[in-house]
Amino acid sequence: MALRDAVLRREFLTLTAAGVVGTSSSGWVLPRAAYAAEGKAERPRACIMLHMQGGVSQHHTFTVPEYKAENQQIDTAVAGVKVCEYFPKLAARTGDICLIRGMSTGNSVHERARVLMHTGYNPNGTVQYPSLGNVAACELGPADAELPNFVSVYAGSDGLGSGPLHRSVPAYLGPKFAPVPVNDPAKGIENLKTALAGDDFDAAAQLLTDFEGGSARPSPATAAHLANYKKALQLLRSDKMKAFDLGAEPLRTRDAYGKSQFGKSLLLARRLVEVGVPFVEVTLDGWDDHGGAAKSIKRRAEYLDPAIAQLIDDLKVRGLFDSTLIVFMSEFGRTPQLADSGYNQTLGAGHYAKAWTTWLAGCGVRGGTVIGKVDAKGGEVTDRPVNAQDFLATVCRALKIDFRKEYTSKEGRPMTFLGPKAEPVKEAF
Amino acid sequence: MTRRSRALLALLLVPALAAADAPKAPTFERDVLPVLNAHCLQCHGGVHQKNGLDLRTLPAVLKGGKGGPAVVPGTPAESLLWQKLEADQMPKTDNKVSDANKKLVREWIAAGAKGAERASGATVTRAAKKPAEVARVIDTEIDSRLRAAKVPASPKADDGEFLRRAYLDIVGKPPAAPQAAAFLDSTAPDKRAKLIDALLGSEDYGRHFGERWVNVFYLTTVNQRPLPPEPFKEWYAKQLNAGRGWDAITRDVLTATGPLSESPQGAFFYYNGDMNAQFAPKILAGNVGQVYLGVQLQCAECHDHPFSAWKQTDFWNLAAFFGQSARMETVENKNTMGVKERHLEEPKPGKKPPAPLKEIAISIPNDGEARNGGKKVPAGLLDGSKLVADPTKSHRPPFADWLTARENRQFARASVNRFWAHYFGRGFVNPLNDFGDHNAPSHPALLDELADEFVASGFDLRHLVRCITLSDAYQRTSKAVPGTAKPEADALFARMAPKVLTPEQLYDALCVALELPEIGTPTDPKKKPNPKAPPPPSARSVFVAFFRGPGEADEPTELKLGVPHALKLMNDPLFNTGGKVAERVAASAKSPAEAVDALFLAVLARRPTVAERDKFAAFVGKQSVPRDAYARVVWVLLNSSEFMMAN
Repeated sequence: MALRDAVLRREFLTLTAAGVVGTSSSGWVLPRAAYAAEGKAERPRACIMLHMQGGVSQHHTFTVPEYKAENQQIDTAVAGVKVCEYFPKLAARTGDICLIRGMSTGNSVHERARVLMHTGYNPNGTVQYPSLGNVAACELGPADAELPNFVSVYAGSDGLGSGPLHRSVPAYLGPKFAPVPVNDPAKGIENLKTALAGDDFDAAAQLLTDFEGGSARPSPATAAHLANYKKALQLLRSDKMKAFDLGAEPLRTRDAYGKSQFGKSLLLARRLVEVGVPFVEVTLDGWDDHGGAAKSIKRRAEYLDPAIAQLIDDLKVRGLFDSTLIVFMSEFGRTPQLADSGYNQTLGAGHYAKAWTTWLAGCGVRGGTVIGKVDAKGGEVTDRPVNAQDFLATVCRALKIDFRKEYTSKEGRPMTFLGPKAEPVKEAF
Repeated sequence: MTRRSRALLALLLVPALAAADAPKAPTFERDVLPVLNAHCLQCHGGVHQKNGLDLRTLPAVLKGGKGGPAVVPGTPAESLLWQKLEADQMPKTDNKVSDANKKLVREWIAAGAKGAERASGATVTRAAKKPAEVARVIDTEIDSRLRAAKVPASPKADDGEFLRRAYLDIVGKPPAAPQAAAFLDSTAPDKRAKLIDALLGSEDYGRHFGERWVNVFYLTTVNQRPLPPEPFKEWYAKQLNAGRGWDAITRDVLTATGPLSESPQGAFFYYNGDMNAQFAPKILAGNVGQVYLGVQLQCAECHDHPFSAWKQTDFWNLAAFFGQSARMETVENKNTMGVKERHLEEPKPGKKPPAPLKEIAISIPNDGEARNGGKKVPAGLLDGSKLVADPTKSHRPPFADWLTARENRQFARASVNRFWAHYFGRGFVNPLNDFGDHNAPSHPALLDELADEFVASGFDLRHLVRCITLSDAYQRTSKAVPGTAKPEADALFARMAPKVLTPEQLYDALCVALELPEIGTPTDPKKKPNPKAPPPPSARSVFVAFFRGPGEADEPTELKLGVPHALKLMNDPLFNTGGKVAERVAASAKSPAEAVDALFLAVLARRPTVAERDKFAAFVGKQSVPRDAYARVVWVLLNSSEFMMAN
């Protein structure tokens, strides 16, 4: 498309003239030095949230029970901390990871629990709450960013689907903080190519701008429409769209992330964070392992373990680990061994929100820590339970988001992201 | 008077209307309650009543708590409420009352601690008026309020603006080019009234309104896999096009029984069911309260309402009518969806029939969430009037009869408020489901007048639409003049609010503009259809699913779409290759200016201004291939805010 090339060339020249591009090794990423040159002391914080949709069995991942475990535990980089044998690469990196083993969230219905783990509230039908990603887009993202401040990547489904894909809703923050979906990491954002014949998209776009004029009908909806189009055009013309081109990455790196859609999603997430996108959610569906979790998690771990390990390493190499939080979460965990047989009675088969595991890494979170303990069966939290609000508060603290900041709903009601009782888990820092 | 009936009356008797310019004595509901709501009701409301004090209603304030009456009318100095506020002893939090609000409370007590005057609750006995006469009442009320507030009004919309608006509001889609041309070229002085009549006579009227109304339930359902809404929409369309009264239609919905194949309106109970579409009396009670009575009873499910006078029992009184309603699973061993009453079922062969019910009642679930779990609550009518009903018959008809009766003016008010909002983008009471003393209507007299008119007409929706759309208020331009583009002017209806097209309207508008019967990805002809698979979703429903913003049903003036939607409208070849319209114009237009006229008419249902025509014609003149040039003009117009809104 002629338009994009022309614009890219124009912007490239501007950037080169400003002395920005020339200093970057890859040619398009603002290196740390450039941030410093712009007078920004610290790189802006970002979050990559790994949303394992369906309910991850803690028993087959990061909290193997003492009673009737289905697989071996292995030692990790941190003395005394063991994880499931399927995750040797992450085991070698527990020094960077903070495991939260006492998740106790009270909701074990897929769609509702997903809302709870994203917003901090069970859906109640009357008030809508924004998700963490929407709040991060609002608080961490520059208002004039060329790329969306919240990108939601679908990494496919590997196993039993568990209902509709979770989509975060910006609620009272307003539609501009809605996620921009990417349904296939290899294809990026959809509908970026003009369907108009000929090559003078610019002229038509200019005619549209002129036609809108100053708008004789000012209204919030008109303003939102114009803002959407401005943003969409900006996106079409942005040099940073190169972040979506995974082919620009060296083969070695691509191989390290793997050929799975999940691996590609993580690579995309890293590239997006590099160009300043503050929140990327990667959703991998299929974890609803009612038929038993051991086999399916062994399969998934084959691509999860190397991809996540590569993400950690890659962020470190690029000096981004200290400013980027990786969150590994789900809507709930899975049942301990309740009986020797029976539907949802065996280890990892049923939904379980009373005792499960998440983890955080990077962005100032204390690596090598394990917070919370469970009993031998893995069915009860015996130390340091963490609910959904406290979990999200912890993420906010790492990202330096004020979760008690007051927003105003359209009805004039004061709203805060999390409730008055939410407290970050201090041991994580 | 029981506490329940007091709660009801407080709600159902709307304040009598003071002339707009009469001096306003402070009233409890309008002036004082908002202050109490912001500072006091957390501790002295429905959830907590510290020291036995409840400040939600005037009688409760006068009664006071353990310390005696909170207010001595006429004497602030002797009133505990004033003493505590003045000294900042209350509230105990940092959320102290401002001096201005203190002054307001003091003046209210000094003036006698009056409540709002209540209109009489008498039944409407008058006959319906002529629509034009009601339209004049609308304009008198709205204009006098604008004058009093010194807010100017925008002038009358021109024919093009009115045409597209009336089409979109009444039949859900804009006019095609020939209809637009016929209206714009007509010189008949009453052409607007004639157009309204013609649109109300079209089948699309029922189709559009049925769709909007079903969406009220369909879009808010918590059911994860809701039934396809089409049969229910068609049912509404049929009732509306047949001209049945809104009371009768509503009664049919609430009393639906039998298989959905015979009573498609039974889908109402599925949408108001739980996540698995099992019928849920508490969801039904909450939603019937919100939609048909305009009140937020649902807070009283678990405890008394914190900020208004609803009791937990009020909620369950209502829920009790739905306590026996359940899903039909099979009929003669065949899977059948539908609505049944458990207590009226034939006993299974060999089983003893259950003892006949002695009362209509429901037990508050003992699930640890609600207070008073396990308590049995009898069915009751929300206004405290006596319920005469036979518990061995279906429980829903007595409730539906009470709800839709002419005497229940809150049904008419809540309905009129919703229909008004359909046309103006906002109701007299906003949110539409939050009537009550804490949230007075913006135009109480007009709301009552229209509610009475609705009752007098036999709940004739077409009559109400005529009354509304014939008014100058409805026919004003949405263009702003100095002084009309601000929130307080919007609340006074100083200009028409631009409303965002619903996804359904947007799809239909694209079809009309592009002159295509449908817009969707064509199915692969090589692929053999699987006769066992469910039919693929229609192109329209695929489009609608993509463009559906959250909560769009109740917020017609909010744009819920974002960048992905803008990109799709801009760049998806489905809507951006000019459609049939570019071809038609390429074949017929003799000059760029003529082509531009034709394209504006097809896409925006108006002709361009002189400046617009010149600008677009110049653009067209620069292009080498006319058809491509026209496709680009269509692209510009389709992506404009004018197209995206009903202005």
